Amino acid sequence: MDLNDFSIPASNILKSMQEARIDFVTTVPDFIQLSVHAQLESGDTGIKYVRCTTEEQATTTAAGLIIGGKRPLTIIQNQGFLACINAVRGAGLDAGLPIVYMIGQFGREDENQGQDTASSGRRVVRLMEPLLETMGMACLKLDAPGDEGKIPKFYQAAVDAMVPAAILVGARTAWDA
Amino acid sequence: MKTAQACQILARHRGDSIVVSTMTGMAEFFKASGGIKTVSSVPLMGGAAGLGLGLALAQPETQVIVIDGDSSLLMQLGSLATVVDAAPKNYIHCVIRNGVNFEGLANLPMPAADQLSFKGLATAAGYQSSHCFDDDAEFEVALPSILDSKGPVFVELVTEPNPPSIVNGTNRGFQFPPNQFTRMGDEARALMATLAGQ
Repeated sequence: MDLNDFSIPASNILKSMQEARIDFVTTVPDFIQLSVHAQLESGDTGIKYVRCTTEEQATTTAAGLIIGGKRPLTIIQNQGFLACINAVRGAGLDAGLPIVYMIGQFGREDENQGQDTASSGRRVVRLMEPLLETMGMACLKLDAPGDEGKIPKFYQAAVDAMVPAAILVGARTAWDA
Repeated sequence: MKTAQACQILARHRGDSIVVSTMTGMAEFFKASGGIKTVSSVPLMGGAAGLGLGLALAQPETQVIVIDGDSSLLMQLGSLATVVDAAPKNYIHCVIRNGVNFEGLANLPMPAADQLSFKGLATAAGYQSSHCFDDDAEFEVALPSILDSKGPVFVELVTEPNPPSIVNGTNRGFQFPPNQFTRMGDEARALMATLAGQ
């Protein structure tokens, strides 16, 4: 098993975000997506970047952006999603705003790559998919290069349905050469 | 100054601003101004500052007034740093500082209610300007120039809470209305339609 088989280059993810016409990112930084953060911080992507101090703020700021006519993406990690569930419930599910999260599976073992996350030894990894199912949120898993091409259609489906949704990033995103 | 007076003053001077409110300020502002170009952070204590920030960034030519609660802001005190980092020039962040939770119902004291200075916190965080008022007449005189100034601006409004009405252990006759659980979405969709039509 080679981690490179599962790591998606940041530039590929940024390209898919641009194809999805994402214009803002709200975030509390995610260890799994450090190379994505680096590109967003560079300011060269055309995507505005809102640094937040909690995932609740990342959620409500995204909600305000959506009401104001923008297409944000909220980048956080799995622990942060657990921390902001009430905000997801209020602004996403109850208010019916299409807040789309891109959530890094922090703590996932390299040995678990290519396997069901249910077999991860880390509770914070194992919880994510059943939790999203319990909340009635659609989930797109980015488990290997190529999966990022599904982001635009997935994002638009959430916008069309006016529901929150989650993209799970399974492995550390790759740094471009 | 009572919370109702503070909100009536904001309603008189809001002009075409978008207003995001929560908690006691939400109820009083709605009585004073109705639901035009408003979003209520309910039931979502702590959400008003972020909702307002997103709106201010999305609509940079429109002034956004946030009517936060003191305990709500304490829940998301880091939002002061988030707002300053994003630096929206069109963002007016008011906090109703009544010192209690459930004003007019139970008036449970807020932590450090007698010590905290929200103006001091906002100043330290780096807001462009910060103000504090406990007198309605002084607030009304100052508000127009505050609304004309470059944001993000912070306004602490010290209010005297209404006395508690739920006493002696009785809960009979009190329920939150059903729209408490739907109004954020209803108002969001109405505001989206208004902004799309501009």
